[in-house]
Amino acid sequence: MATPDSPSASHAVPEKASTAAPNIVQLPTGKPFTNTSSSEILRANATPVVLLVGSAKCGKTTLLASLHDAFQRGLSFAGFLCAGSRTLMGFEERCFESRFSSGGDKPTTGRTRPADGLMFYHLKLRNQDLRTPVQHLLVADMSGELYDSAMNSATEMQKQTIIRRADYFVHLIDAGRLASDEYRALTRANASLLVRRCLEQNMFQPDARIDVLLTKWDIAIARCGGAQKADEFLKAQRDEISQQWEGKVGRIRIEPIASRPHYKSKLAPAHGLSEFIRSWADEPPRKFDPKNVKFPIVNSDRMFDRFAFREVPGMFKADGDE
Amino acid sequence: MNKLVAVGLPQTGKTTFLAALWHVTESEEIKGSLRLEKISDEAKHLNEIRNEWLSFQQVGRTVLGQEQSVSLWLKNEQGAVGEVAFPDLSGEAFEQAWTGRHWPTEYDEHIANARGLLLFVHPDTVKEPISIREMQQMVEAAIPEEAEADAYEAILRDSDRTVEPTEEWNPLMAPTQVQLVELLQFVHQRSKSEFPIRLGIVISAWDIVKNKHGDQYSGSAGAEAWLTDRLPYLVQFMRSNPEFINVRIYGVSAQGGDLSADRQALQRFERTAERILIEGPDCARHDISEPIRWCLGLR
Repeated sequence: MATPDSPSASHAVPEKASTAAPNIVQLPTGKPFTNTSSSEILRANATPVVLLVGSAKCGKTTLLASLHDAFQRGLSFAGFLCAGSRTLMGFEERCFESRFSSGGDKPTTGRTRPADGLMFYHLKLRNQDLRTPVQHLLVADMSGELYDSAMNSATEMQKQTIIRRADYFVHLIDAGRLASDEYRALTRANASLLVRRCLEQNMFQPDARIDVLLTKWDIAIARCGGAQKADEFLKAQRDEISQQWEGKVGRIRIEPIASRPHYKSKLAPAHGLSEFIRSWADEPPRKFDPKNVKFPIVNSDRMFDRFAFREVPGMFKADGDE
Repeated sequence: MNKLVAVGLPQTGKTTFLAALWHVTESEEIKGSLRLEKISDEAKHLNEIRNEWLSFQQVGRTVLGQEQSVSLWLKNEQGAVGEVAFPDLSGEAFEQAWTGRHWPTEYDEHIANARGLLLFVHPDTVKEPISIREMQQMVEAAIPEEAEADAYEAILRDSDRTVEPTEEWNPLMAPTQVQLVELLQFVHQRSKSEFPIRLGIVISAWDIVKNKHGDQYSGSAGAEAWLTDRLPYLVQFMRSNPEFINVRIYGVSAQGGDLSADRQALQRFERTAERILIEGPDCARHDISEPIRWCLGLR
């Protein structure tokens, strides 16, 4: 019989087929999940959530598409076999504009529409030695517009509870633009503003794991005029970015990636991604620290409330706590 | 009753396989094959497709809405195997399951109760995930190597260029391997059988592969090697889900060759069943009943 994480266990997870008409059985849509439907997967499995955040056209959806594509190009990727996905249709739609069948002469990615808000893509992965059970992974794509509104408004930022829930907050910054005289200042300022807004709004727990991905590294190399100069550029970016985060989160990694490098680039597709997908799937999900959850001060006469307030005062906010 | 279900996208050789199987089991031309214990009460469809096969014609494919319920009473060396239901289902229904996200209730019942599955793949209808980048690199390979600076210039020029695809997204354009993985995920979700289910993958028109690649994909593991090269995503799914499916892979040419080019050679066989070509684990020559044995747990 099946193990808890084996495919049969996922019978219990959402999007079950149902009989819609007398002669038809409706099957799961295969489209990306909304927040609500993904929560069922989260409950049914210890599923890590990877949140992709960045301005419009920074490469979030291309990263997603290239992950799905990487599994189609060989017998494994990053040491994993792809054991399936509940969002295959969504992945395929995102890959379409990079495929020859689209008729395009330059690979692109259909953008996440503003109305899409936050979309969750699902992957089932298994170590190729099969010694561990199937691992589920949810990768959330936050539309550039949602990102903008969160940067522009503290209230909107507070609504993005997924930032607190995510096991990995992945900030994508367009390195092609960072390396450009024309766009450097704008790109850097916006990236920095997001970090500042998140930190000021206490969006991260002390154990938060932050991955800063410098995307479109093939373009950055071309702009720098070669790999060696690009390495110097990378060092400077790392110093600057880590300074902003230092001491405020559990872990920060800053790496260059090229999800779908230009065909003249020496970089391979999904450049830099295998190490990340390995850790996203392999590391244990973050444990929400109960010490950080504080209840409002008790003003009630209920016996239980008074008992709790007296016996475990640490559970409650002190005067002056936010 | 043992129920086997043949699944696959349209025009992948399901009905031709069934026609040849009916002939082999009924004629007993192949030593050691499964044999017919008795003729089913309703054998009209089986007889019609067998007649086409025996006449060296393309066997008519099953159209959506005109599927036939077929059953074979089989026996092996040890005795009766029993009645094996083998519904001849239309490939269009499986294609619709991918595009329209539904399938007929009747199919659902077949899938729910299937003890084993045969999944058909035709080498000429496989859609591969060819990227624009791969095509560009193929073209590039024909051009003399350029200076690094020129390559950088081209990268920067393209980075500023916006393009629109000329085709609209249509789920039918998705690679075959992705559609088949989704089909197996549907089976997993709808099946009421005890897991793991036995799955026989039949690469049909195997003569095409042999003609094109010579000995590259030969022997009992040849079909698996071909599948690994052409549909690696499907192979990953199979290997990573042993709790759900137990798989064997066969290369089968139910017609034995090209009905136009090889017609005369095919007609020269004294025993018609000997024109059948099959390669895979435990396969005796020409014994097209081997995948059925495997799926029924007789191996």
